[in-house]
Amino acid sequence: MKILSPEKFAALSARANNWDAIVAAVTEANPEFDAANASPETIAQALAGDDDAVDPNAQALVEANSTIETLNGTVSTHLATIQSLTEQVTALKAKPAESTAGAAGAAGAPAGDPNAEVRSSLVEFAAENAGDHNAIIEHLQETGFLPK
Amino acid sequence: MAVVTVGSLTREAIAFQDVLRALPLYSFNEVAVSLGLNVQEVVGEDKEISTRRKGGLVRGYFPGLTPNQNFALLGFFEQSLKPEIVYASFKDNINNYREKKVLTNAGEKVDNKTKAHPLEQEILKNAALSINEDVVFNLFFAERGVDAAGSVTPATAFNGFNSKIAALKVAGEIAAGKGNLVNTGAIAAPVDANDTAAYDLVVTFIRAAHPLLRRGETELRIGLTALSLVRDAYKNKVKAFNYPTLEEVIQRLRDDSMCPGLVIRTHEAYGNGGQLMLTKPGLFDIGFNVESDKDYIQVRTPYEDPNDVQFWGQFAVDTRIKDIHEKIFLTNEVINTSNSVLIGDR
Repeated sequence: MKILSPEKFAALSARANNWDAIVAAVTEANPEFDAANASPETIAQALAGDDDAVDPNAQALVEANSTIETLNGTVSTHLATIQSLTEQVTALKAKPAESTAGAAGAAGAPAGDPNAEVRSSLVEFAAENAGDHNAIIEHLQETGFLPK
Repeated sequence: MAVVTVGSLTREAIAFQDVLRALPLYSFNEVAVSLGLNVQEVVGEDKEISTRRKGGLVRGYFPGLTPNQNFALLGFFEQSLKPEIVYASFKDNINNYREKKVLTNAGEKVDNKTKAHPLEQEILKNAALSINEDVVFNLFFAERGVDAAGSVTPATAFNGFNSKIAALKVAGEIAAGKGNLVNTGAIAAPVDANDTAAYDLVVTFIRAAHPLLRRGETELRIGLTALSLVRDAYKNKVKAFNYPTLEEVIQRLRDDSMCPGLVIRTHEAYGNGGQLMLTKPGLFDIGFNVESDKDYIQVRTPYEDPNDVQFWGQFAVDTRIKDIHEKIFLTNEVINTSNSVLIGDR
């Protein structure tokens, strides 16, 4: 008794051959593929490859890049702060701040200091001529701060 | 009148730094002019290299001769000026300065102009000047390290000119055989009205110098006391004549020693004794550095008692004799003693 008709048998044989051809092709491309336990799912996974697999090295790289970007931002902020403070220091050195009521005066003298003008005179001249010791000495002698 | 407080003094010390930094040069200038010293700021190290030419090269030429002179034309003598850090630290109490009205400063009357300067500035100025004066009066005598008693003093803070001379003597660079050292003995006070030894000693010393050293401008460094003794001896020499002035003594020294361009260089900082140095101008350097020290004079309050303040002064200093060749340098074996008792007012 025939279970399958010749046409049905030929069709199934053809499909089986096709399956074998697919398994053989996959096995050829990926020698580690387990052909004996091949299933549509394993074939599909083999065909999809490792593109979707998570690479631990790649993930670490992404995290490192993120950290670098964060640190770069911090450095930029600090550099801006340093530049701002440097400009403030330069400006303060160039000319001491005006004395205001209740605040420290030009040369660090408290407001209301009767000698504030004299303090400022020497300090301002020295600041304007910083490093030119001869000029400062001459000025100090002219003002009577040093004997001639 | 404003009261000096710890706060006002520390504030002033910060604001006054540029003024205070000029004071070492002010202190050094006076002694530099008197003793013919160069004062220069040195960052790091400054090296001076002098050349020594070989002489006696020329020979008569004859055809077929064999030239056989083999030597280096130039020799070199190098001296370094490398300021080393010195410091002064002392503790004071702010109550020592409250309600003080300064009328004179170290014997100098303070006029209306100077009286206007706040006491804080006067305190800081005097702190700086005292520190500088320690250096000035030890320019010749200091030797860095510890003294014979194991103590540290201004005289052990840096290396002065005499320590450089001592090192050069040990190295054999200053020696009778090199023509830059003459043994004279000490300059003594005349023992009677006929004693002219002190004057004659200086004449003999100058005459012993290399002829090229005696040519043109020549500086004789001599202590004030020794110069007085020379003058006393000269008075004995010309006792039957007019009472001589110092300028006349020096003029006679020029004539007797065959050194027409002789100039006398003297200062209290040169010390007492018969040490003589005859040189061409510009051989002695003082190197200092205050710029690298951010705070030349600091006033701090690190103590438990809030009225106590600490003064901290710091800068770098060194000395150098550029060259000691017999054509430009001559000294004797005597070493002066320091006039350190003159430092300060009390």
